[in-house]
Amino acid sequence: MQNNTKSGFLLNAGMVIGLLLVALTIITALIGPNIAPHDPMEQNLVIKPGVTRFMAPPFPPGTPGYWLGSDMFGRDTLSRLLWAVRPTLLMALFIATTRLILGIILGAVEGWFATKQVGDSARSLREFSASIPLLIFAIVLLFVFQFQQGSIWAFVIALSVTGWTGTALIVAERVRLVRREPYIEAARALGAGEWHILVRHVIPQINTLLPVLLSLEMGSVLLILAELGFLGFYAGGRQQATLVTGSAATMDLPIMIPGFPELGQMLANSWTQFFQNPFLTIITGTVFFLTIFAFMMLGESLKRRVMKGDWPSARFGLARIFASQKLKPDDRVADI
Amino acid sequence: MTQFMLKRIVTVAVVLLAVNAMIYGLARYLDEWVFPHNTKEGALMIATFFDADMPAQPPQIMTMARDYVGYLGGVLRGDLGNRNNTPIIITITDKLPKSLVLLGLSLLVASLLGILGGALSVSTKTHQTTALAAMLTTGGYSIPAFYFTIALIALLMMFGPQMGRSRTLLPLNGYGLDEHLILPTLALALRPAAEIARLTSEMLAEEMGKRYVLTARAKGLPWRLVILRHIFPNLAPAIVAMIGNSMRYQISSLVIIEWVFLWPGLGKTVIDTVSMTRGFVINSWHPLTMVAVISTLTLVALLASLLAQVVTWVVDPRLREQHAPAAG
Repeated sequence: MQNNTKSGFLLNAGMVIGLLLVALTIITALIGPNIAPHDPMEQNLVIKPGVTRFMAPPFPPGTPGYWLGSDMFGRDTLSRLLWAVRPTLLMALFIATTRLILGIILGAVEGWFATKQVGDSARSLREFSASIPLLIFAIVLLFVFQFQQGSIWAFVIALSVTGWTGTALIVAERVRLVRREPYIEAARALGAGEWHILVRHVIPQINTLLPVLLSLEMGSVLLILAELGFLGFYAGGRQQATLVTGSAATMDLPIMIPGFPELGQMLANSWTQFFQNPFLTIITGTVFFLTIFAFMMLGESLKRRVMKGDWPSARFGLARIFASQKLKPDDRVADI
Repeated sequence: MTQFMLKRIVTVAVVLLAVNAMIYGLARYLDEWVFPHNTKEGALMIATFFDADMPAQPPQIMTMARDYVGYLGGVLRGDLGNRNNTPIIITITDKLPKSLVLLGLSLLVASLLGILGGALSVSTKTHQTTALAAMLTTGGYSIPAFYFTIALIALLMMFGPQMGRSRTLLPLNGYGLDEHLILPTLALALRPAAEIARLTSEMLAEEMGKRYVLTARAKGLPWRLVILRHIFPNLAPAIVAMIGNSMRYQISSLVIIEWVFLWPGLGKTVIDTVSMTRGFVINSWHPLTMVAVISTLTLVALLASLLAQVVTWVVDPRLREQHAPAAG
């Protein structure tokens, strides 16, 4: 099979960048809160950077001590970002895993029973779910659940109900290919039962797909979380507060103070203050974009290798993965 | 051919009905058992996010089913319900063309940009896609819909009001079939352009190694003509099919872009109806509007997908031959 990408090594440029960025994201999630310079919830309504200078929030980026600026309550953006990556990533991981499990099960059913009624129904279900616009459906479901103490479960359900179709498509395609392989037929001829074939021969083929699927799902989930967060649907906490105006004529205004930092929530609140403080939105958006890009890049480059058949099978283990030689076609595993 | 179309149309109708029923059920559930009715105390309660004693009645499926059948009958007559004494159908027919303009134009722009970009990113000497191109297209694909728009808006604001001018170079929001169209179309076209560019570059790289290309080049055709006349008709079905499959994400992006640019289309109506950004919700909640708008958007996605399939069928003669074997 012709190799259409530039390098012959197992790691190409895209994969390197993806791995680096993903590693950076995970490191931030793990140790971010420990290296944050300020308390993310601490509000600084007035600071005094110079002897005779007073500043009121929002502070622009570059203020000494608040290197990325702050929001309108004076909370340091850098610290909030460092704290916020962890809950967002955890939530995304949770949702991505749910989608992955659903997608693998339904995709395997569709691929394995491709000619029978069950497979047809699975395929129809997948096409039906794939034709519902994802964001709109998620918004509606979130709207329903938010009013009933919604939290992470609301997001998990809203994003998983129709989100598994991408994974299911890839898995179904792969299972359908595997089904035709001669070693399956040989195993059947030797008397192996269906279950044994599934476990010993089909599932290892899906194992090699798992990193690809997980990366791509994480990327997609983070993308949708970003868009939902922007629209105001996020899983963080809100506190009810009252902005007291000094005059007796106007009412006290109930406002929401964003609570514990979470990336989607930071986005939502930064958009409402966009014209006073555009930097917050841009910076939060950039951070979100980098995380999404990291996972997508990793997933895409992995997918490119897997689809071309250059990826070693599950049996070969780590030794082959770090080898820098391209596998020759005869090295493909086909054992019974 | 007609059997093909019939099967597809029936699928569209069934899916639409299912989605409509689902959303109708959700909307009624919200309206009757989650929100107290539109009383002043109710509105105030919701505005302060109290999860007060909700009436603990179980959902009454039969009543809802009967109401739904009545609603369907109304739809067939063209009556989608009223909202504040305005028939909802007028809202839909007013806003649908605006959304469609944005969608159609953005897909057109995306196709042009994507094909051009994809073609440019393949090197004719090595028949490979460059790694840079792969990164750019993945980057374009992973930009959230609003991020690009915010970057554009910030850029324009830098060259506008902050430099002392009274307004920005391009209008930032509002509806108009003139320069108001530029920014939303660009923002909406980004992701499909990235997808199309990636598909084009991959398929181009693959096709370039084939014999017919070698023959054409040996005949002395310049690369430009080879791509245009010989390779491109092989790519067209795949590209159109991909556009059809991406409609789902396109509609989602449409919703956000319409909201950011305050473009009065169907997407913005959805957000207006379920908006939660300000913490107060209720004045704009209206269940029948939500049902109608979401069903219409789903219908648009389905029809666009169907159109893509039809165009693929028309463009690719091989598909036609499969289903109608030539006589003799």
